[in-house]
Amino acid sequence: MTERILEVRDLRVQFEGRRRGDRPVLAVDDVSLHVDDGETLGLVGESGSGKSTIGNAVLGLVRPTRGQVLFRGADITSVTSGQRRALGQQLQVIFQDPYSSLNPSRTIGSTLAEPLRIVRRASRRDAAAQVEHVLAQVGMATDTFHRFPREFSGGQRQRIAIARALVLGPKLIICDEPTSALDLSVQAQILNLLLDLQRRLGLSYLFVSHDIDVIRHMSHRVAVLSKGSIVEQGPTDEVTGSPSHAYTRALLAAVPVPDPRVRSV
Amino acid sequence: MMRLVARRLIISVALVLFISLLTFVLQTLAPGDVARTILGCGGQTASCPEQQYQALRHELGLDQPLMVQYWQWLSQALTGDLGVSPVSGLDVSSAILSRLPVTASLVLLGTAATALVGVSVGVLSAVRGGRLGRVVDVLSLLGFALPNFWLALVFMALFSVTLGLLPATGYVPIDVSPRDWALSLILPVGTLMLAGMAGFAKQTRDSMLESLSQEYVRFLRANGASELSIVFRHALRNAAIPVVTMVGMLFVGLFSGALFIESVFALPGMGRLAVQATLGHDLPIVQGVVVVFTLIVVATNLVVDLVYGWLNPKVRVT
Amino acid sequence: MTTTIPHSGGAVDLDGVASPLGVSGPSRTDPRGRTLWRAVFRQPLAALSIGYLLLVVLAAITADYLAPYDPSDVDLNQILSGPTAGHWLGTDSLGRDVLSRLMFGGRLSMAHAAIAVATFLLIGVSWGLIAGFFGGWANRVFTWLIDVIIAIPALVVLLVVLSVFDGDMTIAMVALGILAAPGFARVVRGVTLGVREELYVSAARVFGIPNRHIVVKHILPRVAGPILVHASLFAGGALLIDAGLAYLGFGPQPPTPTWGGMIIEASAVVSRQPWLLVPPGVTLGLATLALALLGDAIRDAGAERTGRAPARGSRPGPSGSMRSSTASRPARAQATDALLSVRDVSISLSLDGRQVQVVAGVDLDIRAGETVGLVGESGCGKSVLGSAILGLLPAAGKVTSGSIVYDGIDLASSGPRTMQGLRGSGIALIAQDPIAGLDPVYTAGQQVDELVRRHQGGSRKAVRARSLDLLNDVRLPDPIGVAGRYPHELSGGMAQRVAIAMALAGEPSLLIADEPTTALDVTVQSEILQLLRRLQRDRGMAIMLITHDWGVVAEMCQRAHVMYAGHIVESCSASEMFDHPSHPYTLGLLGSMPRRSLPGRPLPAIPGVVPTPGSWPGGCHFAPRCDFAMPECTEAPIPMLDAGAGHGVRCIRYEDIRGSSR
Repeated sequence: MTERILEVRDLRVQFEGRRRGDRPVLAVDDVSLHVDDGETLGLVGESGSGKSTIGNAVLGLVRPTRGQVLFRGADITSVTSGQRRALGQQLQVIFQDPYSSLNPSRTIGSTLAEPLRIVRRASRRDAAAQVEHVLAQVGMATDTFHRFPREFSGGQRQRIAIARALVLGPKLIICDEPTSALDLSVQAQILNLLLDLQRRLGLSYLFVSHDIDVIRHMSHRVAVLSKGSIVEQGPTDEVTGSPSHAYTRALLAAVPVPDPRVRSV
Repeated sequence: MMRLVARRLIISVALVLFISLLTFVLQTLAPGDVARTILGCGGQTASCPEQQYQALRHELGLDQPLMVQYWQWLSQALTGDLGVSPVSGLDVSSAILSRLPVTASLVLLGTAATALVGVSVGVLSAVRGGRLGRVVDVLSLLGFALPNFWLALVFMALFSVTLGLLPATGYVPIDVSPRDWALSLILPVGTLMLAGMAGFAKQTRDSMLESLSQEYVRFLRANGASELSIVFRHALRNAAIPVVTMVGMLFVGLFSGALFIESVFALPGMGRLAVQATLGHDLPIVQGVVVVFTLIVVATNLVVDLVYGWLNPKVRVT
Repeated sequence: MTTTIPHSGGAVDLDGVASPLGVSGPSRTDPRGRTLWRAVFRQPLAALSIGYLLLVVLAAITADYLAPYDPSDVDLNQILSGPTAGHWLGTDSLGRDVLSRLMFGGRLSMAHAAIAVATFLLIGVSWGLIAGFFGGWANRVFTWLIDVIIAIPALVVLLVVLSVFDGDMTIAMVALGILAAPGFARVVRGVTLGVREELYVSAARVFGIPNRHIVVKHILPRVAGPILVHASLFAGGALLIDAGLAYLGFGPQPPTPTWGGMIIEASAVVSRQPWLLVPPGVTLGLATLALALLGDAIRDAGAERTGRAPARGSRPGPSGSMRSSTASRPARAQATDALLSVRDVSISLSLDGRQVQVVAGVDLDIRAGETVGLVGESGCGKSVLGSAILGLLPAAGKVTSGSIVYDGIDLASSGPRTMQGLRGSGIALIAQDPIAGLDPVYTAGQQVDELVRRHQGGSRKAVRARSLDLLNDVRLPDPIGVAGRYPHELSGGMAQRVAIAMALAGEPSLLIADEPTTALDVTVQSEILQLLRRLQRDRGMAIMLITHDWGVVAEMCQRAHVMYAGHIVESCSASEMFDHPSHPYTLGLLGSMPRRSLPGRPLPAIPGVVPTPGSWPGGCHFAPRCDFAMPECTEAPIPMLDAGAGHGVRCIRYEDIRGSSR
């Protein structure tokens, strides 16, 4: 029997308007979902659907207006910084933009060692050993340690960002459009890496993407978001094979089919 | 846009109140007050005859609480009456008013000349680039680095003392002799322009280059828009948004510059008045100048905001 | 000193710190990390500036021992002497030695500037960091305060301070620091806000790294550059203001030497010995100049170090090696009915100051009314080729060989005037980011009008009518309403429709569509693709579709060309491309699509990374990543081979590969 690692209940996130007096924006409206151990839940939607906001709320980067986030049954909707430090060892993130997700003025080694040194209070040498271990896991050369982010391509940076997420040995990783900024062939490499890591380390993913093909490839279950609400949720084959909601059907129909014989008009 | 203007107005009023209050509060911190200054014992060492001093304080209202003094001053000031300086016996409002035309001529001409030349050179160097761009760079650096009063002295030594082309000092009101008025302003305005022009040109060029590198320029060019239209209708129009802010800053900045320039060329303007009043510990006059000055800054900012909003549709609609 | 106080009110953004000079050393890329200072010292002007500043400071400190005379020694026998052997910089109106007075005078001037800078830094940095990092009400209060303080006429307030405190320069300089700090704090806050939004800060938060640590380790290093730049420029400004105040008669009184005081002394005798103006003015000017140059150098070094150097204009450099494939190009007959015919085109661009080849020996034809896809990943040269066809290569880019024939004219060799005449009316463009593609200060209607007027002319009324027709043609629901809107009021899909209307204004026969739907949501994408297909059918317009998306190729194109590292590696009909891919790269790229694979199974990904232009391997550019590679592949350039039925492949093993793909 698999255990439930993440549960989101009736989550609502409202943003204040940019200027005072502007109407508040409802980014996420009563969303409930869950992720089981070793499972990938795909979260698909178009821009402005609130899919990234859900991820950020789980990570504590935005404050929910209402609702609960449970991690292994414990309420983590709002936690102290000490609890966040403990949680950070279990729950990690990979962001979309590999350029802004690494500090350009620090070496890869110091960026990856930071959580080990501060959260785990590891010695310099232990931290370095652990960093080299995770760099090897994501297929980066050992000399990556002393280099700076600018020396790497987008795909390599994304590997490094994955290594950072792995460095404390987490169980659940929020993947926020992890391949959207990458070229097709690089995307394939990163998707393979994520699948491989899941198999080897028993990771769970909350996989956020606008690309239904990527979601279909990566997820066991899918939740389709539109304007802040989940319109349909279920096993991947069912949702993408026989969608029940009109929006899901429209979304699926809009994706151009890579086969010239199947033209939509 | 209306909200922006309203916000600006509130800030402006707050600012004028704040500045005038600040000068009042500063007075109480001063080692000697106006009464001591009048009695000629302003320094820390000299001692005042106590009875005489107290009597004068009472007469001037200095023995009243600060806020009461401030309120009296403020209610007068709102009618345009900034009081009479007990130190020099001058009526503050009329002293400032009589000096205003000199400073206004200097600063308005200075701003116009600097902005006009600066924008033209800036646009030209953005479109042509190359050597002109480098010249602008170097000149703007010199304009920043050389003190303008020093530059003024050098020009004076050159054009007035050595060549004898222009009057070295003094001011002739425009209604006395327009020709002499112009002659008396050539060097002061020229100094202000030379000190600021290149910096202005450089900033204009930078924002022109910024505009010219935008995607919409490429898109318009790709679809056949003419170069003339791209440079003037599109790039310059977009670059004008920051340039307007720069003109506002320049205008305000030149009032400060005028402090020095008026002293060098012995122009009887507001800046010189302020400097002399400061040296003579004539606080009411200084205070009056500060208030008038603040009003000018506030008005300028308001005008800049309006123009800015008019130029920038993103601000206009909200 | 024309402005009140440097940077007390400048609208300054993150990296574009306002500075008086944009001169910078050549950009170098150093694979190893290095400190900001080392990067600064590498710039000759900066090193010179630091040298001069050190000299001035040392001269002031050691004045007691090194100054040739006492600064107040009066020698009435030698007044206004001008430079002599005994007095290198001459003597003043009391016969005092100018050099000695300069050295001693520097002490006070620099001490005053230091006081102002210290105040400026203390207040500006702490205030800006707090408001920027913690945001919320601290930020709101801060914004209001700044708006108030920034409008204070600083120099005049300084006069009040001097008047109240009896010319006390220490207090005046503290006041100067306070008055200038808000503008600076605003800059610090801006940078902090920017850095706070960076994802690596979010990542640190997810780890539960304490705020204190985030500010010190992540924010401060990024803010340090702008802080130093502004401190440096402000130090120059403070020196000038100190001298200016001394000139006006405030501060230390004679005979105490100060730089400003020396200028006022010189001005009194300007008609008799103008030379006296020179030593204090030049010393002061150079100090300010050095500080400004230093600020510039720090900014450039910072930009370079974080890999965000602004694109610097073209710089001529040595030509990169031209490994052109012309020699082995088999003659392919030019399609006689081609609207556009690209033959053996090579293009080079200036990258990091080097001229680098980015497109090598490309052939392609587009017939009237046909849609041709140009498929490839970033950096393969597909967009550059599109720009070259429009004659819009960046400044140092050029077509180094080959011809681009449109309507009988070779665009590659014709002048800019010919090209200008063709753009819009012959060949038009739609691009990836539709909102950035529209000028923000004009309404959609005004922008369509401009191109209609340009291409067709007519009265204002006729132009507007035609514009509305076009907006109607691109299926905008409310053409009149949309025409009155500004770009920021349009959605991405609407903006792309407006852009298409603009591109159609000149009734082009070829439309270059450069990733026209990449920035759009899928549902909007499918609408735009449908629109393009309909427009093409109605107008008989040819489309060159540049894309990375196989789905878009399948939906739109009759023919497709796959580009890899500057080469077209495969050309054929779209259906042939999907059914019988014959180049290993095409095969790999098709295989990379999750859609063509079983869910959860590893995708047949291409190993390795795309080589950057300038580091292409010899022979086949794809060989190092290719499972089919043989020794011959790397020995000589591989020509485009004819695989029959209009199918071209740049691979010597295409038959094996075609066999392997189903």
